[in-house]
Amino acid sequence: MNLRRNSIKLMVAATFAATAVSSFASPNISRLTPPSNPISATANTLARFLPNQKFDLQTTIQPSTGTTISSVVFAVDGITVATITNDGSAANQFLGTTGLVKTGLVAGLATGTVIASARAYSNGVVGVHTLTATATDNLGGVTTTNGNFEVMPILANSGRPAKNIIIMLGDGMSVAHRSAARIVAKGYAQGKAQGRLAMDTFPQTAMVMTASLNSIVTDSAPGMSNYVNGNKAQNNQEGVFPDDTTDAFDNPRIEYLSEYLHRLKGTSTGIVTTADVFDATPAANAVHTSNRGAGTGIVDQFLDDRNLTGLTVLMGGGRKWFLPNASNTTSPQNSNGSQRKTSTDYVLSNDITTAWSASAGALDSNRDLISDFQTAGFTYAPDKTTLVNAGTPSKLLGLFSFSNMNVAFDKINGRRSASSVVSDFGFPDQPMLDEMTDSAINVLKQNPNGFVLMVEAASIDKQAHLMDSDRWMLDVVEFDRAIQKAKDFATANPDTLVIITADHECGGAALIGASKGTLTGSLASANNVAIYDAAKFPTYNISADGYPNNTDVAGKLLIGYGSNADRIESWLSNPLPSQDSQQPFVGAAPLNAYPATAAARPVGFLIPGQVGADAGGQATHTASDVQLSAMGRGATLFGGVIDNTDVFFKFGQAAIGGAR
Amino acid sequence: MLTLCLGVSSLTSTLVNGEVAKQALNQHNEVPKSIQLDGQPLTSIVGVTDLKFSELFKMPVGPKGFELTSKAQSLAGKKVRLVGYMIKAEPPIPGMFVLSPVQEEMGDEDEKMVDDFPPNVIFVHLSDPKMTVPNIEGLIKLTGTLQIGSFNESDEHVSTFRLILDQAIEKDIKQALMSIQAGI
Repeated sequence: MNLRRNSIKLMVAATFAATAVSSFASPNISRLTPPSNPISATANTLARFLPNQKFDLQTTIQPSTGTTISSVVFAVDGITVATITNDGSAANQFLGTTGLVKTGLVAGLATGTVIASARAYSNGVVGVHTLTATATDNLGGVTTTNGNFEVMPILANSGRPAKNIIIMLGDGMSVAHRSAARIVAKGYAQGKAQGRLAMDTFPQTAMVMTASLNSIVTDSAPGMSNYVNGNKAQNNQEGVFPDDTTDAFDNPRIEYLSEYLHRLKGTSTGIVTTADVFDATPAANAVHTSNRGAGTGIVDQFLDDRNLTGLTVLMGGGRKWFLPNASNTTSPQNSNGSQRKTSTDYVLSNDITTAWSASAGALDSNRDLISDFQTAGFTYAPDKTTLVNAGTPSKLLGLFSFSNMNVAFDKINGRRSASSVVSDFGFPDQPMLDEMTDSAINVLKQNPNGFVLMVEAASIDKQAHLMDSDRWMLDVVEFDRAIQKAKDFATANPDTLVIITADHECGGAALIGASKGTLTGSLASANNVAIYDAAKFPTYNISADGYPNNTDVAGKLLIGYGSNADRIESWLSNPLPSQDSQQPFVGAAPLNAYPATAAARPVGFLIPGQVGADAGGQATHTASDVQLSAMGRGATLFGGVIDNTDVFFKFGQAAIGGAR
Repeated sequence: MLTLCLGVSSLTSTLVNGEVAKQALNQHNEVPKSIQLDGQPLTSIVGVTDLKFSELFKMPVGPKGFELTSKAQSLAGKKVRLVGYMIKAEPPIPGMFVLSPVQEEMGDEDEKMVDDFPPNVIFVHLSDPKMTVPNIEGLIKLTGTLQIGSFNESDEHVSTFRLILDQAIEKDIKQALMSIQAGI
């Protein structure tokens, strides 16, 4: 085992006589961070970093009964990197880049437990390093625990470096979702696709394993952050390792790709999503927290730490987090609809702010964050018209809805005046993802040092959760149109690397066949599914706007779900989307009349779920691998079956060492 | 059919058991006529403006959040009539209740600050700060004076809209409760 613990009992005779029971025991080091590989010395090292990438060292030490921890020493390869001495008080201590936390700990730890940190450590020497924590108690008991981490190589002068990196992230999108979009948007005849999606044209393909630190089935927080900091995060956590405190913003940090390249190369960062911008995927590119739901602090940190990330573009939904809320309550909501509360905000301790040059934060529900963004030089676009009229500002903030944006199905039907859904939500003028991507690239490309842009098609996942097949299929089509924008830019600017991937699969989606003849709606059943030969080739007519003019064609593509909750299925498009609990008006007319879950749809037959009440009426993520496509500078680095953390090191190679 | 469901009332010093009172009320139909809807179009009242919940905030939503409509702003301090659902509160809150565009239950004492009210609910205030109004099921119409601002309510909510209930309606509700109690 790599994790090795040695207990050294140093006993002074007088002490032994006085405290015979406790002096035999030594402190228990119950956590050493970064986490080490507990399986075998020959397996891949668990924690890996690029040369000089910053990360925090941390250890949780539980004293034996009747003792207190006197000091903690961190050493790497036998050389001390930090010594932290307990001042004996009950208060937390912060000195320079080190901290000793004694309060605000999770339940179940021994009395007197301390958490020692040495923040923003980095190491430029390639190879496996031994990390040692040594804890000494007031009776001379000493415990030493060893772990390890690895600094991965970047091969210098391997070709021209990638100036720009674009990550196209289809949330929940796996092979089935991609195939479905191709069938819908391009059509098949005589066994051959009649066209290719933009994502089909990328020359390199890899399959990606998506597990998180604590589960084969990840959520979007590790699913994204694992790509962009090279380390496994625990579910619900982003940009951090787990710890033993209750504070959501004090976990051991890992430097993101956005921060690393901004520090080394002066790149800009762009984050574009169709979700609420506080959502896990966008936040897991720039925000460090163990609680993906801490919306107030997450959106604050986007702006507060822009000097660390080079944040230049932030677009999506989520306006509700940016509005001042003097009352600090959301029940009922403030008259402006703000969701800001101090309970989801952040304040950082001095060791973090000192070591990382991070903003301290503040518990300020009444902050006018839109105005603060504008003061920092961002042009604010609340809708598509303003976005278009903004041209190419130096920095861009787009908040196009209160929470998650409406999906392509409803946005495009709104533009066609065929549906009132976007107006029901109060946001009739939302941009499509390709329009947002185009604007983002135009802003970011102004930086001669390059940029890192993450574009998320969030509702492929959200609609797959809801088992609303036509809605997620159109979101893949929308995503592909955004990918075309990225591809066009990379073609014109060959020093750009573009990857398309997913954080995980969602729904266990499967293309099971096509509908038989005329659709039946309320008379729908499993017998409506045409399988094998009878499925033929579903054919959709594509309008000039790029989307099917009707998703209820005869012989339409039908989807089954392997991780389904109960759902009422009509095989027809659902005129109304399922309710989104994060919308401020969800409880009010007309949104309250929308179906709450797939099981509450008014028309169709019941398909019993395979996941139970734990899933809250939604299909779940699955542990299936996802498909990654790459083009541009460094694309040849991608291939085979890789771990999601591997992607980060390929980014580092492409951006720093170069690639051919 | 509208039913008035009594929880606990402070109308008399001999408070009735909530469950017994609820049973009793379900046997009686004591919702005052002045707040009942009879299925017919509302008859206009001189000096009172009918106001819908959907008329409180502008749609589409503004760049910096919800914005009051000019109609709502112009009616601040004036008599209005609203039709909505009383949010069920257990226990009822002395001196007030909440009117909502949708049927909803207020969280109990342990979770009352995490309930999911729409932003346009209206806190209806009574002149008697000790009076508790038991739940009324179904749509009701209420007339009173509209107030708009940021109000710290006694149950720790912060409200945007208040309706100071007309004395005549408050009196009708009191009489209904007293007649029920007298019959128990």
